[in-house]
Amino acid sequence: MPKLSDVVASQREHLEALECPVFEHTALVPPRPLNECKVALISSAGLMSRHDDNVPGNSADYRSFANASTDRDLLVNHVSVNFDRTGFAEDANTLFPRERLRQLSDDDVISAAATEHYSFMGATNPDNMRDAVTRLVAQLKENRVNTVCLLPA
Amino acid sequence: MVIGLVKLHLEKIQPPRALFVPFEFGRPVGAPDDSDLQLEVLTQALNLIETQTEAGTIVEFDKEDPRATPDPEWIPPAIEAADNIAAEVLALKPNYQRQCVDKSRTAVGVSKLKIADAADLFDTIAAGEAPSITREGISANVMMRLAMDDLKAYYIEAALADGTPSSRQIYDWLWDDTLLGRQIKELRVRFMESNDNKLEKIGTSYCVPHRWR
Repeated sequence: MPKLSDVVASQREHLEALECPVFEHTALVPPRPLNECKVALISSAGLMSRHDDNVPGNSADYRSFANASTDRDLLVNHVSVNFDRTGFAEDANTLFPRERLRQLSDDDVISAAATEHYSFMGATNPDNMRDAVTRLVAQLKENRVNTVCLLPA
Repeated sequence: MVIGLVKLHLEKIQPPRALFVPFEFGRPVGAPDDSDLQLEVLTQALNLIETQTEAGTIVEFDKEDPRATPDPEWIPPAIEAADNIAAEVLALKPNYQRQCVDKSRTAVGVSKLKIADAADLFDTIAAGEAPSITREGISANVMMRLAMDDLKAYYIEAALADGTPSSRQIYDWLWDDTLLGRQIKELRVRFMESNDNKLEKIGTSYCVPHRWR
């Protein structure tokens, strides 16, 4: 499961034909110093905690993961078999780099890592995620998060 | 700000700030156990907040994942030809346990079954029976898919116990050289011919990666 230029024809055709959302406007907040950024990670890897219920294959909702928790109970519950799982098996940071973000916070490169990070089921149609995203944005504002890093699987 | 693995999708979506990384799917910040590379990717992505003044520009990360290169020293787990998955799982147990101790974690667990029970469930389905085990809110078909995911994760961790193989090395071994890989591929064909639409969908999309079909 290498990068797109190396993937087999059937997968490449699928990815090339995948419909992508079109946005009328692309918003851009003015640049701000990195050391003023409180950063949350948002993954589309369908992550779950070992002790929680499974993420349904068509779930439009998101799960929260504490910044301070370890990776011991972090699992990938995504329905797709077409992305690498060996990297995550060896080091969860490969997919969900909480440790690296904590490092950037400890080194004062960023203002802080958010207290919570998040994951969606990337296989779900993004149009169905509108309500969940609205709730998540409110949560981010409440926690004074001013920067998010979107991570694919 | 977005880290993207498919440049074409970034070009179509045009997120405000985007870093395209030339890594394989599932590794948006690069190689496992390479904190320097992971930090470099994350820092370069976050720097776009500070430096980028125009929307829609795609910045490209210019380093490759060093772990994409095969490890010539890696030797796949030594397993005798097994009659069923329960036996193969048992043969891989020392490797799997060594890896768990080394990493202090496991990525096995989505089915919430013991791995021996996941193997038994797989063996009954491979023998021709329909998926039967359910859990509250989880159908028998989904339970079977989750058990397969756990078995694959178990084999991956067993393969990681010795050396630093590339993902391609691990998957070539898993799909071509293990009984599990061969039997999942056979099941995929059976499921695709099923009258059960959901089982047919699992066969079509959720059993075997494109490359190894």
